[in-house]
Order: sequence, then C-alpha cells, then structure tokens
Amino acid sequence: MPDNCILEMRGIEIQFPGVKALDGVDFFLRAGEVHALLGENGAGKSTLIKCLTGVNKKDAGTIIFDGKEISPTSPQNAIAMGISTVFQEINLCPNLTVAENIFVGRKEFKRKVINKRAQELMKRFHLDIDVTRPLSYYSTAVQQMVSIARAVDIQAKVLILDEPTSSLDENEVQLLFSVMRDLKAEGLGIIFITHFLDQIYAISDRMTILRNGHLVGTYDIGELTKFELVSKMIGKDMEAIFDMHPSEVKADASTMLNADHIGAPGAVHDISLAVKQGELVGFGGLLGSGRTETAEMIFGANHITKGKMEIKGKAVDIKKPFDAIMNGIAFCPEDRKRDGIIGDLSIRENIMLAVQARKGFLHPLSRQEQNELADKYIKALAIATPDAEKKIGELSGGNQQKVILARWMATQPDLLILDEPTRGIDVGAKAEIQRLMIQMCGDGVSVIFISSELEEVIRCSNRIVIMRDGAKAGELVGPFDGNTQNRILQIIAGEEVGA
Amino acid sequence: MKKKSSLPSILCFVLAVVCLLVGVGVIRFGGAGARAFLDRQAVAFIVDAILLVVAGVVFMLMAQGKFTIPAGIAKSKITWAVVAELLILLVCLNIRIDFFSISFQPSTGMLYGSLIDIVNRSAEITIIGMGMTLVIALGGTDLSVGALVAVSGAFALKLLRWDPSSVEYGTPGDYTVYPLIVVIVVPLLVCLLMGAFNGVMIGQLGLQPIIATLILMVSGRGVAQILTNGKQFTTLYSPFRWIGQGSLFFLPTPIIITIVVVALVMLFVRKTAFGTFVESVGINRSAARLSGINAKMVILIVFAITGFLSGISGMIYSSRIMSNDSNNAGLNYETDAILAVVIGGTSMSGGKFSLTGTIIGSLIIRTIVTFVYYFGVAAEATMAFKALIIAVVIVLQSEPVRNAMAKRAQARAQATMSTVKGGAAA
Repeated sequence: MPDNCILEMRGIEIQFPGVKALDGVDFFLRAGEVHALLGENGAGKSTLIKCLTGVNKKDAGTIIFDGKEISPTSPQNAIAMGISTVFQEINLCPNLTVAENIFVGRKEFKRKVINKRAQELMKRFHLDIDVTRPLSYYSTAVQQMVSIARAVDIQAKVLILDEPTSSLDENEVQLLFSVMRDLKAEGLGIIFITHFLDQIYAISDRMTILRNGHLVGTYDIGELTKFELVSKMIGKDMEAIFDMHPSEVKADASTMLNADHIGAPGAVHDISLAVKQGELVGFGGLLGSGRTETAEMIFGANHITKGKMEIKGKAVDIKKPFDAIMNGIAFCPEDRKRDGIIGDLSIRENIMLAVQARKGFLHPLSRQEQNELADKYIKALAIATPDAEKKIGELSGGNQQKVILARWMATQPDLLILDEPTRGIDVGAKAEIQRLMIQMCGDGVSVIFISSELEEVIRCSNRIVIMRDGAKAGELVGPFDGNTQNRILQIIAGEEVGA
Repeated sequence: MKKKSSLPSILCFVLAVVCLLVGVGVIRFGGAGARAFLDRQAVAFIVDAILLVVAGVVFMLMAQGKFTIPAGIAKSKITWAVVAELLILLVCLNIRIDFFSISFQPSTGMLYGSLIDIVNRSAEITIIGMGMTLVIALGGTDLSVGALVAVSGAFALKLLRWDPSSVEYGTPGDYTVYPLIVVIVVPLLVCLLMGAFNGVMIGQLGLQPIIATLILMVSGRGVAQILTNGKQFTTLYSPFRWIGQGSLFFLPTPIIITIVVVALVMLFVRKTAFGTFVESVGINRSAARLSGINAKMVILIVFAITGFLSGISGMIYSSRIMSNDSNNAGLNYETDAILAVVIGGTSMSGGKFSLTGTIIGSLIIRTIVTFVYYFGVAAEATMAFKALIIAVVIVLQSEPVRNAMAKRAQARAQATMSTVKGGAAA
C-alpha cells in the first residue's frame, strides 16, 4: 500500500450492457501529486472518473477517500465530499459574470462579497481580469481557469482535470501548470487527463495507464520514455505509426491557391500565401495569431475585406462557405462540436451533407447514393460504428473527426483546410488522420494543416507559414531538420525573420 | 416445456369473458336505465372483449419470451401519441357507442359523424401544424399564425364584398366583386409575404423567432381590422362556402384540402433534401452553414411556408363562418399548433421532426374538444379538461418515462429469455 494516499480505488469493475468497461482497475492518488491518467479513447479513463464522481455506479470494488470508504451517488455528492472535476467542455454560463459563475449555486450571493472574493481568487491564479464582466467576454483559456477556480474554491481535496489544455495555447498552458503546481503544494491530489504527451512529462509526478478497461500499470514519470508510454497505451509498437513523411511536391505542380495580402477587420490584416497542387502547407503560430481566422477567410466563413484571392489562377470572390465549396475548397473547423458535427443526425446524413449542400436541396441524393457514400467512407477511414445510421453524437471524438473528414472528402475537394484535426483524439486516430492527410496530398489534393502541436506540423508539412498578430511572420520550406522547431519559435517570438 | 402464463394475461382473459357475456346479453343487472345502457352498448362490450383477448395473448407471449415490443417502438414518442388517441376513442366508445356512427346524407352528398367531425375540424390546426413542425425543427416558434388566419379571412371578405368603383361594401348576398380565384390567391400571397417577413427578421436580421413573430401576432390583427374598417362582414357566395362547408368524394372539403396540403408538404420535405437541411440548421446552425447550407434561405422558406399555410387555414375558417372576424378568427391557433407539434414528438429545442406525429397531435387536440362537446362537459370545465389530458400525454412522452418503459420491456424480455433457456436446458 503506497503511503500518503488520499484516494484508493481497488478492484473497480463496471459492467455496461454487453461490455465490461472496467475490469479490476486499481488506482492510487497521493496528496500533493499530479497523477496522469492515460489511455486511448474507450480505454476506461472517463468511466473511472465517472465512477469516482458518482455518475456511473460501480459493480465491484472499493473507493477509500481520506481514510473512509465512500460510494458517491452523484457529482454533487462527490463535490460535497471534496472531489471536484473540470471537464474539457466548459460547463459554465456564458451570460453570467465571472464572479457569478464561480459562486452560482452556493450560499453566498451578495454581489459585493462575491465580486471581492472572486477577484482574490483570480489573483491567486495570476489572472488580472474584471470579474464583473460576463464570462463570454473572455477567451476560452480564461474561461477554463474560471472553471478550475470554481472547482478549487469548493474546498476540494481531489481535483480532476479532464483535457483542460485542449483549447489553450502554449502560454496559457504554462499558466495553468503554474496554478497546478501551487495547488499541488497546498496538498491537493490532481488527476490529469490529456492527449498531449509533452504536457504529461512537463507536469506529472506519476501516471496510470489503462487499456480496454484493464490496468496496464502505474509508473513514476521517469520510468518510461514517450515511445514506451505510447506503446503501452495502444498495446503495440509505435515507431511504425509515426514514421510518416510528406511526399515531395512535383516540381511542375500548378498553383492551387494564391492569396495576396488578404485581411478582414478584427482578425487578420495581412496574409499572403500560395499553395501548390499536392502540397501540404502547415500553419504555425500561437493561438489567436490568425491561423484559424485565415482559414475561415479562405473558406468564406469570414468575408475578406481587402486583398485578392485566386484559385487555379482565376480571381474569386468568396462571400460564404457555399462559394468556397463550389470552388473546390473544404474546411474541417477547429471546434468539432460547435462547428462540425450535426449531433442528432446519422453518420450517413453527416457525411452526405456537404455534397448535398453543393447540389442544392432540390436535387437530392437518393437513399442508395447516400448509403454508398457513407459505406465507402466508413470503410476507407475505418470509422468504428455498427452501421451508418448511428447518430454522430454517439461516436468518440476521433470517429466524429473522421466523419467530418469524410464529409469533405466526399466533395472531392482540390484544397482541404484542416483546423486542428487531431485535437482531443487518441494517438491511434491521430496517426490515421495524419496518414490520410499525407495520402491525399499524394493524390494531388492541396492541404492546409493547422495544429497547435509544432512537432506534428513540422513532421507532416512541405512548407510552414508562421503567423504572428494577424500577419505572416515568416515561411519555412522543407525538408525540415531538428533545428526547425527552434527557428519557428524564434520567428514567433520575432527574433528571426523567416525566409 | 411448461406453458407459462402471467397474471396480467389471466386478468385480461377473465375480463374479456365478462365483457363478452355482458355484450351478448347473458349477464344483465341493474334497473331499467342500466339495462337500456347495456343494450345500447352491447357492441362496445364485444369490442372490449376482443381487445382484451388480444392484450391477453400479447401479455402471454411476452411472459413466454416469444414476443417483445421492439425498443424502437417503445421509445418512440409517436407510439405514445397514438396510444393516447386510441385510449380517448375507447373511452368515447364505452360511454356512447353512437359516437362512432357515421351516416350518409344524400341531400349534401357528405358523410356525417363525430369521427368525420374530428378530422374535419382539425383541418386548420393540422395545416398550420405542418409549417409549425418545420419552424420548431429549426428551433424556433411562430406566434403569428393565428393573426395570419384573421388577415387571410379579412382579405377574402374584402375582395368578396368591397367594390372599388363605388368604394363601398355591397349588401350581403350570393355574389362576389372579384373572381373567386383572386379572392383565394391574393390573401394566400399576402400571408406568404407576411411569413417571409418573419423569415427575414429571423434569418437575415437574427431576431429571436419568438420576438420576431410577436410583431405580426400583434399587428396582424390590426392589419385585419384596418382592412375591414373594424367591421365584420358576411357573405352568402356559394362557391366560397364550398371551401369550408362543401364536400368532395363524400368528405367535407377541409379534409380533402388537408390531405392535399399534408401530401405536398411531406413530398417537399422528404423527397427533396429540404427536411435534412431544416434538421441540420435546427441542430447546429453553425455547422450547417460551414457545410455549405444557406441557413438564412432555409429559415426564410420555412417561415414563408408557414405563413402560406396559415392563409389556407384562414380561408377554411372564414368559409366555415362565411364571415371575417378579426378578433376571434384563429384565436389561440399558435398554441394549439405548437401543442400538436409537441404531442407529435418534435422537440421544442429543434432538430429531428415528425410530420405524422403532428397530424396525430392535432387529432388528439380535436378529439378532446369534440369529446367535451359531445358528452356535454360543462363549458367552463372544457379548458381544464383539455389541459389535463394533454398533460397526461406529455408526461407519458417525457424522456424518463419512455426510457423506463423501454428498459422495463427489455429487462422483462431478457429475464424471460433466460428462464426459457434455463427451462429448455433442464
């Protein structure tokens, strides 16, 4: 028995209809540690958390928290005991003020008092914001901090962070980490769930790995290398999966897209770029540097107010997404849930949507054409589903992403823009999406690839456009070497001007 | 293997026998009044007996694990709407069997009876309900439909009676100032435009549907008042009377109009991709837009259709009363239409919708009203009675109840399957 344990979960079993979601899993959390909980989607991470927070009932096993055996009956019950959770999606009310969000549902409701206490709390998080403003006024990162502040202020002893960094940029992640270190020093036990391996090594003390509902093991952070860790997560050797590189762009490839000093108010003021046929262009830069906004401008989600755009040498005026689709452009948006999936519709309907939109509703695809389209892409992209009629909302993140990808592949685009296609999905699905991307380039499709993970941008791209403050800061042409990452960071920091 | 029977099935069979005996006149009890009632209701008892036998067999098969209600059906909201409608009808049957009598009147060439009446009188709400279903699938509501009913009627009566050459209204009679086609088409086009106005406010200007349609809800009746100088006019023009009171193929005209409208809307929505577009915009407008769907256009079309359908509804209404009534025409139609859609299983939060469900919802509402009139429930209790039944239907349809039912059915099926298997193995 490890000493100093604040939370012991032993022999946890949870049975869902037809599957054993957890089978004899042990998990020990010490006070004052950051403990990473790892595994692919469906490995049982969420189920374990849900068991701990009283969402799912365990069928066997014991939970000992703070020396007493507990069996939480609901999330409220768990919070009352001192187990707080912050989810990936921000579960706050955007139209309430920051202070109200922190204190909603508590006994304290005098405006003056909560404003003052909220301000103090935010100071502790090194955030200097006006707590009387509505939450929606602030960036996702700040909102994330507010939800953590809310969780911590409820006198928590165990804090569960479920993918807290997926919408944060590098600086914000560092800010979150420093908060986590403070909380750790105060003796909180933190369970940290993330898909970013670098972050696990940066902040965690120990890690527990799950696979298919079974415990693989608990390790100190220095015990495993990254490759060993991933191999344990997916249960097979990693090296082959991530040994992919973009194909060479043909020397005589024609220019697919040529954007000349384009801009739109409030987002991007000056971007120029050219994408050749079959070329994979990566966008580098911090969150908010104009990566997403540029993609949205090219796709017509934001109308450009200055500059010119040419597609295949022809000047175009793209006012709305429909125009872009008619010009052979496709766009997988960054926020899959908000802008991508139509949750209550089936996989089939989600896949055929863009093709149908291009044809207009008066020229419907027959049911058989829809089925063929759906089956083709379910097979090609290995989407894990019993059939095409399952609601897309019921799929895992990785599979949802594949369906959105299928929606656009079905339109047979000439230029595919992927905004953070690999965020929040597990390692296996990530590798598959990268493989698809590279394969499509080989087939002559141009791809613009946006990702917050520099390593993946560098590995997959033929060329990288780096942005800063809504303008192009530089451009690097591959092949890339070990020094590329540093050069990009320097360009972002403004210390070097790219070629 | 031992034959298994369950308590409910035995109960059903016993009750069936009793009903049958009462029905064929073997069992008689009570005074003269009760005997007369039993004699009149003989057929109803026999129907009860047949239904109970069917129920008993189903229960028995379920107990033996040979039959289970498919989870899809148990979970569907439409199932519960249909069950509710049938139950109300069954109650009617058992109170007075002639509720179900249908007779043919050679003088008018039309079928008469309470059932015909229910379908006939539900026409207005069913027709508006088709549009309202799409509006609600978009995640909105349209409060202006009732006012548009009044506008349509006012316009029709103006065109029937108002002579522009003398700038006066003639005396009521079997004539029309403008040809019938104008009397029908102009009000419908006006309603279409007013619906489109709603669509522009909501789609292009981004107003909340409830606010945007509130404008016409209030001002629509004002427009109707202005059109007719705040007066009520009547007409005796017989072709106009045919719309609401005539007959076609032995059925009242409104039923035929409803069938045509429902068929057209269903074809438009399901045979083109329009239905999918409406659902996409209703579920996730941003994602629909980024997939290339012109959400504003979809919204505009849906509200324009709803306006147009309200116009048709208004035409039927004013033909029924052969008059315009700016204050009472279409009063509370918006709530009835919304209710029909909700009872029919379309969620107020938008998304997946069911036109069939809305038809059933509209029939339920009308069945209740007819029931109340037919059995002489006190007028002041009508509203409360209607509310009570609708509350029951909606509770039956609520997520927790449906899930619980589906789960129970499944659990029972599994339990019996395992005992049957166990028994077979032994």
